[in-house]
Formats: sequence, C-alpha cells, structure tokens
Amino acid sequence: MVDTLLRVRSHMVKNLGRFFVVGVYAFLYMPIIILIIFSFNKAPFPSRWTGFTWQWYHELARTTHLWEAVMNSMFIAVCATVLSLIFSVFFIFFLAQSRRFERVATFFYVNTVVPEIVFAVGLLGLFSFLGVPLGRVTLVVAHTILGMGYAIPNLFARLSELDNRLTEASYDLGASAIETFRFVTFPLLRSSVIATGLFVFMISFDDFVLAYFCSGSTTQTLPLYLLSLMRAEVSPTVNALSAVLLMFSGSLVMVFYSYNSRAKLF
Amino acid sequence: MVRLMRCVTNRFRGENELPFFFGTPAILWQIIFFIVPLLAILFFSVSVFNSQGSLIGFSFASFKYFFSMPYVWVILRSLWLAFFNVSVCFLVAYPVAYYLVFRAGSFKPLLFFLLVLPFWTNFLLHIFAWFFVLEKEGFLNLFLQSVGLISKPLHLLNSSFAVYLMMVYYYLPFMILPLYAALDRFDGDLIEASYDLGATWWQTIWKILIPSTAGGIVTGFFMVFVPSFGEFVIPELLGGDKIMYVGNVVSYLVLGENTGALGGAFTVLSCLVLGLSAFVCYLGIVRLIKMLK
Amino acid sequence: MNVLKVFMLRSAIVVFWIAVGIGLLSIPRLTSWLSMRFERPFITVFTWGNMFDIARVRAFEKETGIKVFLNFYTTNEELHKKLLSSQGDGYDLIIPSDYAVEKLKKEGLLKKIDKSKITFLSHINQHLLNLPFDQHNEYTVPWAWELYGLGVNVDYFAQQRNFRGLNKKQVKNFFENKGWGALFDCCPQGYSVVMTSDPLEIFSFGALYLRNRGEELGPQYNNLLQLLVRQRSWVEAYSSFRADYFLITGNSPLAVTTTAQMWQGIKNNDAFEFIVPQEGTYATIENFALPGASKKDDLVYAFINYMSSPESVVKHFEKFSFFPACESYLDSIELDVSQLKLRAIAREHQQKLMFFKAFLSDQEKYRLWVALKATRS
Repeated sequence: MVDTLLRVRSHMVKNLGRFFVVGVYAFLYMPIIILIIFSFNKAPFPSRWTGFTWQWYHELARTTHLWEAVMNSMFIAVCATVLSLIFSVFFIFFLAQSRRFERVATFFYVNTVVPEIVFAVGLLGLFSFLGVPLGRVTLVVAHTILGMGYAIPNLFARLSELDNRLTEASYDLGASAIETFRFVTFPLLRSSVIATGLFVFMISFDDFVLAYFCSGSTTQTLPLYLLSLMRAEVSPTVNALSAVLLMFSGSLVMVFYSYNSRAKLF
Repeated sequence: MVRLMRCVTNRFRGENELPFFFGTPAILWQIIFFIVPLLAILFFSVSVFNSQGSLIGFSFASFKYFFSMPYVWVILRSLWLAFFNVSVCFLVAYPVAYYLVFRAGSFKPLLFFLLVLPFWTNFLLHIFAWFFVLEKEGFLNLFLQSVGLISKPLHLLNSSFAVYLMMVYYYLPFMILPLYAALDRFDGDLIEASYDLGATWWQTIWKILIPSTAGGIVTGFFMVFVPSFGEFVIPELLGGDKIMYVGNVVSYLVLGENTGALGGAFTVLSCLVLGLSAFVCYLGIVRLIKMLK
Repeated sequence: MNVLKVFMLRSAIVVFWIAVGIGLLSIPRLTSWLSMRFERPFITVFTWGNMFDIARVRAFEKETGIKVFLNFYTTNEELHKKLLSSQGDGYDLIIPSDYAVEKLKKEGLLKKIDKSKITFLSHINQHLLNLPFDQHNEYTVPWAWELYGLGVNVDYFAQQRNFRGLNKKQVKNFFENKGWGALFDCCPQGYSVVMTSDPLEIFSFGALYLRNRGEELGPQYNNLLQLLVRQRSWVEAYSSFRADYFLITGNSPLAVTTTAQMWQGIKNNDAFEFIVPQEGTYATIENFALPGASKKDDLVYAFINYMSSPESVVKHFEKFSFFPACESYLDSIELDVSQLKLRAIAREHQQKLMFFKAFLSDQEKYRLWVALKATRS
C-alpha cells in the first residue's frame, strides 16, 4: 500500500519535472512561433487573425533598405570572422610553442565578459581621438575583438585536449614548427576552427550594441535596421523577416553541430 | 628585408622568433583596441581639459555630479534588475539543466539544439516577438479572453512587468547552458550513491550537486548579471521608454552633445558599482558553497 | 649582444604588424579617394528617415546620372553632432529643422545659398519665407513643414461617461479648447497618453502649458519638472514615431503627434481626429541647407530643383503628408477628402507659425531629462 503510494508520488514528481521543462521550452519558443504565425496574418498590427496572406513576404523582398543592411551585416561579419580566425589561429600557434603564456589565452575571455556598452564607449573615444571615421571598418575592428574573445579560449581548450605525442612524434621525425602546425596540429583543430568561425559569424551578424555606437550614420547593419523599424512602426514585414532569419540561423546551427559534435562553449 | 625574414624563420628547432611573429597581431590588436579604450575611459573621466584641449589636472567633479538622486536611483534600479534576473533565471534554469542532463534520454540532442537556437537568432527579433504576445490585442490577451479568465484586455506592454519578463526570457538560455555543461561533467552515479546512503533529495541537491557544479553556477551568474546591468534596449522598447536604467543614461549621454565626457564618467562609475557588486555576490556564492561542503 | 638582437627583431615585428593594421584602417579613405577620382559624380544627402521618396531619387539618378547617397538621422542633435565632428565634410546637403538652422548658422557650419540657382523660388509659400531663424533666407530654402497637435480617438471619448450626449464634432471642439491641458491636467480616468521622445519637444509643450495658465517655470525649471514627473504616471510611452500605432491598437486614445505622422493612420478612419489646440501649437519646417564644406553645389542644386518640381512635390505630399513648401502645386491635382482637410489645416495655421526655441542649455536639458525618467514616481 505504502509502496504504491510512493510509486504514485515518484510518478507525479517525474511528470511534474516533465511539465516544468516543457513549460519552460514553451515559454522560450511561444513568442517566436506566434511571430511566425502572425507573419501570415492580413492585419498590419498585432490583432486577431484576419486571413492568410503572403503579402508581407512580398513586401520584404521589395524593401531595398533591408537588403542593403543585410549585405552590410554579412560583409562585416565575414571580415570580422576571417580576421578573428586568422589572429586566433596565429595566436594558437604561438601558444603551441611557448606554453608559458597559457594564462593569456583565458585572459581573452574578458572580451566577452566586459559589458558591451562599456567597450563600445571606449572604442568610440579611441576612434574619435585617432580621427578614424566611423563605419564598416570600425565595426569590423570591434567585432574582431569580440570574436577573439570567443575563439582564442575555445581553440586553446581544444589545443590542450590534443594528444601531445602526435606533435612530439612530428618533431622527432624532423619537421619544423611551422610544418608541424600545418600538417599535424591544424588539421586536428580544423573542425573546431570552422565551428568557432560559424559562432563568431553569428555573434557579429546579430551584434547590436557595438553597431549602435560604433557604426556611424553611414553604415546600417541588420540589427540597427530592425531597431529603426521597431521604433518607427510595427509592421509584419518584420515578422516575415524574422521567419526567414530563424530558418537561416537554424541551418547554421545544424552546420555548426556537424562540425563540433561535443559543443563545449563553457 | 629578406635577411630579416631569414632571421625570424631560420633558427627553427628551439628558440626562434616565429612564435612571436605569429603571436603579436592578436596581442597588439587586443592592447590597442580593447585595453587602451578601457584605460582611456578611465583616464578621461577624471581628467580636466581647458578650452584649448590641453590637460590641466585631475578631478572627480564628474563623479560628484552623479552622486545625486536620479543617478543613484538609476544605478540601484539596474542592480536590482540584474539581481532579480539572476535569481529567477537560476531558479528556473537549474531544474531544466538537471532534467536535460539526467532525465531527457533520447530527447537530449533535440532539446539541446532547441536550447542553443535562440543564441543564433537576433536579439531584436525576440523583443519584437513579445509585442505580438503582450499587446492589447496580442496573443496572450486574446487567449485569456477566449478562455474566459478576463473580460477586458490586460495592460501588459510598456510596463516594468514587460521589461522584467523579457529580461528573464532572454537571459534564461545564458544560465541554462553553463549549468548544463557543468552538470554534464558531473558523474551521475554520485547521486545514486547519495540516495543509497540514505540522503533525501533536498540534502542531495545542497550537499552534492550544487558544490560540484559551482563552476557552472559562477559562469552562469556572470553571463547573466553583467549584461543585465547594462541593458538599455529592453527598457526603451518594452517599457515605453519611461524609466531610465544605466544603459539608457550611458547611451543618452555618450551619443548626445557636449556630454560625451560625462557619459564616460558615468560608465566608469557604473562599472565600479557593477564590479563591486559582482565581486560581492561571487564571494557570497563561494562562501555558500564552502559552507555546504 | 644576443639580447639586443632579439629585442630589435621583436620591435621590427611589432612595427610590421602595426603597419599592417594602419593599412587596414586606411582602406576606407583609400576607397573613397579612388571612387572620387574615377567614378561618376555623386552627392551625399543627410536627411530624415521618411523625407524623400526613393523612387523619385532613383528617377533623379537616372535622369541626371548623379548618384545620390542617403544617410539618415533621427534628431537634429544627431545632425549637429555629426556635422561638428566631421566639420561638414562628407555631406553635401542636409535638411535641418528651424531651430537647428539657427544653431548651425551661429557656428558657421552653413554655406550661403545662391538663390539664382533655385528655380522654384517664386512658387514657395510666402508664409514660409523670411522667418526669424533665417531672415532673407540666406542659408536655407524650405522644403516641407508640419504642425504638432493631439491625435485623438474621438470614438473612444464619445463613449466615455463625461462625454455622454456629445457627438464627435463636439468632442473635437472640446479638445480644441482644452488644448494642452488634455495632456497635463491631472488626472485622467482610466486612459493614458503618448508623448514624443524628444526632450526639447516635451519641455516646450510643458512650458507652453504652464505659461498659458500664468504659471512660472520655476527656479531651475522645478515647476516644469514636477509637471512632467506627475504626468509620467499616465504616460503610456514616450515615442515620436509610433503615435498612430498606439492610437489604432487602442493602447492610448490621446497622443502628441504631427500632421504628417498622424495622417497615414487617420486617412480613412473616422474614429480619429487631429486636434490643433486653440491656445497655440508648434510647427516645424524642414529646410534644404548646404554644409560649409560642400563642394558640389551645382549637383546639389540640381537635386533640390528636381525634388521641388511639381510632380515630385505632389508625389511626396501623397506619400508622406507633409505640407509642401510649394503649396500652389497642389492646385493642379484632385485632392481627396482627407487631403483637403489636411490642406485646410495648413492654410488656417500658416500665418502664425511658432517654432521650438532651444530655451534650455544642453546641460540643463540633460539634467531635466534624466531627472524626469529616473526619479521614482
């Protein structure tokens, strides 16, 4: 009797746990799902369902400002990713040789911990002092710092996980430092590099705070464009845009996971 | 030029300058574009310039300016928001992370994928999504009315409620993931062992789980506490731009006219407050965990 | 000796990388210099977000072969700041508002207009010329203007208890007489209002309200601040551009807005009215102006003249609902009911235009703005 009661109780607790988690996931996804559903709604504002339509998607395709912003974002993200990866891989090579500087790798974490707004303010001051006009280049610079903050600690963690004996064997066989890195270390790190690159790309593409302060008035990135839309009006074109972006992000995440099976970002 | 290059590359096996050559750009970039700007804010917030633009001395006048009521309230409000956010996120995230690691079974990869996806979608889109939920004729009101729970639509948007809700919504994944990572590394058998030795689940949590996942807790704390403090978009768009938080004041001062220096000073001040409170909380957490051990 | 060699080598490496970095940072200047030498003529226009119709701009580009780059700002302060920091370099045409013109003129950032190059001078509405902020129009040529007022959901109010028995026209008259008191008089029963998000505008409306009731602004503007802090408890949101959205979704039945912003929303909708308070309201004129450092005068004049051609003016009026400077062009087309209404409003108020004055210093303005939004209500 007590036995069945206990079993019922543990059954309830288990289901409670399940409900709770489902509830949390529902909470996390409900707004986005509603957003996508309403991108097909005829009404221009959040209101009742008035009918199914593709019109907002058509309007999305016709907004030129939007595509300029997207191109800008893409360009900046690609540049920032490339630069971050180059700097990071170079730095990893450096670390692979001189193990004394291991603490410096974890120091790069600070790039991500410092509130972006503080960093943006500092950069703004630096750029005006140097007389560099704000624009795409300054934003690439800012995003590269962010990117390095994710890439270097990550890649360094991967590097430490590598089997030392492989590199030692390579040295024993007469390879120079560069050759070892090129033919042994880097291929082992390659999937992590690509995965990190994707991650940095998304960080840069979605970044809002740095763009808000450091892009000047000539450069419009996608998040800034969204902000100006949201400040000025509430139009379902944004819904359509979000549906498209969600699919884009989703596919990137899947590519990311195919390159990085044990995603350890922390 | 070629000789120089050969000097760099030639002395291979052992000490040569090749590593330095490759290590320099990252370090240089970091120094010039990260460390120097931060130091510059610090420097400019305390220095005084005359009309020709030359340095004439140092003073804390800007800081004194901010010790007046409105600004103190702004900082306190942001602190409270950050603290509230961390607490609520932690209380919700821990069970979810636990469930994900130990109880999800075959759903684990799917749930994990769904958890990571929000990171990859634009922040502003999430905010925009909540317009559709919280609006007077938005989803939530329509749903509650159709079910019969309320007769008139609730006023949810442009309020502190909306701001706090959105904060939890956005930062929850930031808390779940580190906890998930920490719990993943944790050996599940220890829990079994604890039960076998007669501990209740409450004791198991406090004596076994929490101390072992301390690293994850601390990471999650910082990933939520620090950005929450500097948030400015959410109060503006979801709060009706009625109340200023630290981020609002900083962006307003920094992007305004003739107030850039003030903005820098306020940034430094709020950073100090943020750093101090984060440090205090961190110590608190460490003490707590030590006590539990 | 060896240490010295290592040190020199490392310094050389550092210098090398710094050179690479500087090279990267100078790319924008290089590309702009190259494009200036080899590409076709272009102008950079710094303007408001919804000022020029893209289709017309592209048509201009096609017709004249001059490329137009549009950059946007959302406040006059932003315009001023950007102009100051770049010393006017990089922008060939700007569209400042009335009070901004005064400030820019004083700081010597504007260039005098060559009136002989303006083809539409004779068609400009007389009431928009020779205004205090630019006597004799030496630096600016007006383009469009709008009036501030209250957007009111008359349907909502007609159903309220205190208004029972009144029809919509009477509700409208009520609000015209109540004026800015509708916003500031304590304390509305169960409804909220929407204010704009510009500090100068909000403080000006508050000051106008106080002055019309014979009250002082107070030492250090305390009275003004108290008024606004008290008002905050029934403000739905501070938003300059979403007033029609708040009205239509029923979030708020009363909003401070301009004719241009309001008109798209109320065009075919009887439920809403645009009220111009009897006690007086502000107008804002957007003007063409050339930054002092601009070197492409002829191209800019071509653009200005093109945009002020009859078809262009009509197109902009239909799209954005601004009152055009060349008012007489509207005679040539068939206006629908709401457009006639809009024009009537313009005609009624164009004789007594009142503009915002920057009566607060920057420091004061920031102090008050933060105090307004940061104090506990």
